Amino acid sequence: MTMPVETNSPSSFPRRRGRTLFQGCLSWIRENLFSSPLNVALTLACGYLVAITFIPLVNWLIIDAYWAGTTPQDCPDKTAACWPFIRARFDQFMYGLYPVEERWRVNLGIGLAILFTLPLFLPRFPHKLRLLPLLIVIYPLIGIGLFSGGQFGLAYVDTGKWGGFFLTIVTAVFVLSTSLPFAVLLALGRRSSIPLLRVCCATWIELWRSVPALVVLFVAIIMFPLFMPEGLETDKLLRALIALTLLMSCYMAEALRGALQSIPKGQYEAAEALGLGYWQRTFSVILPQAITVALPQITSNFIGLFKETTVLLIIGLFDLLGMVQNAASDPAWLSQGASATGYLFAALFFWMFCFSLSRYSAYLEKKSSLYKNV
Amino acid sequence: MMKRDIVYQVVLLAIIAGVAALIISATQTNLARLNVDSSIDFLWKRAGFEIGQKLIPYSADSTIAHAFIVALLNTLLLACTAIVCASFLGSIIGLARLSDNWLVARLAAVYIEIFRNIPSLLQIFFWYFVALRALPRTDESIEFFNCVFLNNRGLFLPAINPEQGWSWLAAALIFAWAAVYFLKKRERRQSPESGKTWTPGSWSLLIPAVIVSAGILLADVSVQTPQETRFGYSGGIVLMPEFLSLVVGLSMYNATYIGEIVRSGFTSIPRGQTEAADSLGLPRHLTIRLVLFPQALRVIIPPLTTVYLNLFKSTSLAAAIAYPEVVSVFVGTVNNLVGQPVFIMAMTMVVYVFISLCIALFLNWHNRKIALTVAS
Amino acid sequence: MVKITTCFSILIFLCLPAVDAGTLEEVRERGILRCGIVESSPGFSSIDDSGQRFGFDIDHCKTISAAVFGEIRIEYIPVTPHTAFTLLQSGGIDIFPDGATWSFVRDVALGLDYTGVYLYAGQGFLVRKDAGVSSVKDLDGATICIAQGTTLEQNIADYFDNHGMTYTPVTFADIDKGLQAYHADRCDAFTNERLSTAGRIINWPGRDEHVILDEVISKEPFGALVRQDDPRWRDIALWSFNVRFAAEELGISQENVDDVRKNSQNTETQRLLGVHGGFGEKLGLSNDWAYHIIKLVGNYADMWERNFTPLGLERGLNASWKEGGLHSALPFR
Repeated sequence: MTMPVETNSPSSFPRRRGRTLFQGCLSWIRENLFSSPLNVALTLACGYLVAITFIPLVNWLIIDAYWAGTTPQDCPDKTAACWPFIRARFDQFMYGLYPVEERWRVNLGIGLAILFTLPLFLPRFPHKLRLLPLLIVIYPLIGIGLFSGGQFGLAYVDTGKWGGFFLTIVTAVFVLSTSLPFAVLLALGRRSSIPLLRVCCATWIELWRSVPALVVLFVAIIMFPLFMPEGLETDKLLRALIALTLLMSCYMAEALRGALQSIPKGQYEAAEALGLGYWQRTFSVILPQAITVALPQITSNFIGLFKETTVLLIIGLFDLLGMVQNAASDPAWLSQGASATGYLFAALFFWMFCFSLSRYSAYLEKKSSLYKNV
Repeated sequence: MMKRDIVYQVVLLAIIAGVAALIISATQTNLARLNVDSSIDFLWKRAGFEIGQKLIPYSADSTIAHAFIVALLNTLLLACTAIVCASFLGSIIGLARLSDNWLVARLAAVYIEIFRNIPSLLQIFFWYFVALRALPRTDESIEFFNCVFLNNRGLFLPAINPEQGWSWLAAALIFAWAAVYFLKKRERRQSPESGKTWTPGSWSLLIPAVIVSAGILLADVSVQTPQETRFGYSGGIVLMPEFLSLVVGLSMYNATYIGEIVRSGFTSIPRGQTEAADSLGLPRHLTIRLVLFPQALRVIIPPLTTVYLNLFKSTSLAAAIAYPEVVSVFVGTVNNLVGQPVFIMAMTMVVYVFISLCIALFLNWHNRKIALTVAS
Repeated sequence: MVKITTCFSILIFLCLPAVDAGTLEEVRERGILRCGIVESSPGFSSIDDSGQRFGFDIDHCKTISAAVFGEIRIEYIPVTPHTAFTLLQSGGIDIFPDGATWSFVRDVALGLDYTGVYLYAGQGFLVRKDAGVSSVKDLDGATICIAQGTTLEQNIADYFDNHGMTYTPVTFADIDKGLQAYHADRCDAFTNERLSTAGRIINWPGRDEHVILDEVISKEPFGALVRQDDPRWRDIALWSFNVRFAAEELGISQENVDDVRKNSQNTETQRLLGVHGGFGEKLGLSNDWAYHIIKLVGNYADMWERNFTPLGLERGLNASWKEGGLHSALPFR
């Protein structure tokens, strides 16, 4: 392995005066790729690695790929990516089995979700805290009414028909908005002055954090009916959402706890000196600051949640990956390159979302560390 | 103030007791209503099903408790292998990220950004359902040295079976470990006077190597190579495709996190440390091993704990493909069989909580140990 | 079609208050039969390109509807095995044709009644033709893909143990993943209920390269479920299903039923088709109830040819007793 050096080493981009661009490039190449025998070997090895992975991949995915058509006959063999498969099943990947004529409801609902959540991610938007109740209480109600219907002349759509990317988004947003209030309570509880409360919250948080999401989902699916009073039956998706909320609130609580710890003691004391009670102190002075500090961590938790929603397919709820998996086991597409194309398509989709979110999180982190340094 | 706290606690206790009583009574009525027999006796019943991968002897005649142990060992095997592979890959990625070779550093960064942002389950599916199909059938296996075979039924390795049993080898290993430990201790005590530096690399590798090979020789080994049978290969060690794709998927996903942690560990070391070591005339490899690495480790271990815990938890994804680990065998098969969800879920959760706790405690202990060494 | 109904999940939805009014009156008043079906189960319940449902289970729904209304008036209610029992109890559905294996526990503990056996199924094996396997006994040492659920895993362990054979299981949580892995040559064989396996692989490219072995290693008699507290509704279902066996034995099919009704001199045939005897009235139905069933659905052979012959399935145990099978009609007299 090469020696570790500092990333911002001043020698990485030499731009000396009086040289042509070509010479500059040449010397850059020499210094950055071929500076020592070891480096030459590494560069060649890596170049080879790139060549043997990327060239076949690009060939398979784009150049040799079957592009036209929408039927299995349009990609006769497995030697190349089968884009007709994606085209034929695209609607299913997006909406699951949601009835075609009702899909406008999904579009509208997702649009509203973006409208509600976007300001939360805009650093300059001033009324974040005021928006939270809207997001936490009002939006889920609108969403549930819109998506499942049964009232206001909307046809009822069973949650068993929800699926695809729609289910992924619904789950992620719903769980995010419901887990935050519980997370706040848990985080406050864990920092409370009451020992028993502190212990209870800490145990609760650590207990759920040490169990895989899949197990928690199984607990919800299998055990929930046992805890419930007789006759009360809950929907499978709802059970899964409750389980994920439970889990997520523990992770979010840890993010918030870290943030609460970073709030200077002076803030607490000042608020107390103003004669504010505990709740007033917490909600108008401490929490707004803590949430801002915790935002990068909350975002990265959200990314984790987004990726974790794929686990739903194991308990029989078909998110984007579940729909792809399902479509790939369709006999008609079995001998085509459909499954590989499907997985790569899903990967691309998840990647786009997670990557942009992680960039956003990194940006937040950079910004908050700038504040700290000033 | 104190009095109010006590009142709060009493109220809290009452609420907790109330909720617990409510849940327990509801569960009991439900269990009675559903005619579910809720005793732990089912553990001693005959299992009646086979398990695809077993590290200890097991058959359908064994008890369900035995099946549980088999599944648990499978989970642990998967977790350990994936943790080792992920750490290895992650360290390479992390160091590559710091390389002064532009191409190497870029590639590592691209790797991290790609694989970190794709759900691990998707990666596992890709390896299992796509890469598995690309492997040849058993009759066209890829062969290495006529004793290692790779095909769509897995990786078949020759097994080394000491005739005297494994106890010999275990004893040799323990002896080697003890010898190294003792030597290290003596060396450390003497080094201030003798001026010699302890260079653990050469010794700690040499001693066990010598002793283990001697042990194996003494124990007179038989090597069992996989033999071609009517249905593929048998004999030797079989690594199931499920296991392989899980290890690859989980390692590649978690290596991205470990890579970032390793990188930040090394970048956190002040530049002066390297310069000081240079001016002392330490060779580069010793600078890394004796100066940079121990300091980086102190930064690396705490976040590494989180990654290891996450990795351990995500071994449960094995239930999605047919690797027989705890969730798949216990929550799947056994629960189907005996219908005892309360005990089964409780046992599964306890196992995960317990092992997570062990990992966390071990790494915390290790962290404290290296932190102390530096301070003293 | 062995639905993955764990004992437990069946038991979850046990005792909900039963509905008092007679089911027949209720259905009549509603003007439509509510039939619980499990979706997308080839051979049993599918949807064609024009959105029409068809399949063996669908034919059972049609049978009851023909008996009650003399025409097809059915609201198909998609259920899962988990929800079906609750819905049946609460009156959400009138009949659940996909009641799976008629076993002691299900019959006695569920508060539901079976209405006779309409299909003898069993756990069998799917293998590649080129593997040279002609009997289950040839599978000694094989790797076998299997889905978790009911008793599949135990049956195979018992069978191999009893015959002194070994195997390596690869156990999946659901049938489709297991089949997908078998198709990718992960296993030498795939085991599940034979008929449902046949239904699922019918569209496989290269279906000819695979064969479902004739042997079964377990016995799974399937029946339809109705509520326990309405004996007359149960009678209607039981005898309506029986009409199809009787029709086959008497040589009445969907095609010739009009002819036979006009010309037959056989007294049992005449009683069955309502020419005389007034049997329908005794069930609270019209006297030509059986005629409608045969006209709209056909006899058992018609149903088999329509649904299972395209899947390449022989009748085997499901043949009439006259041809060495197990089905025999209860007499109409």
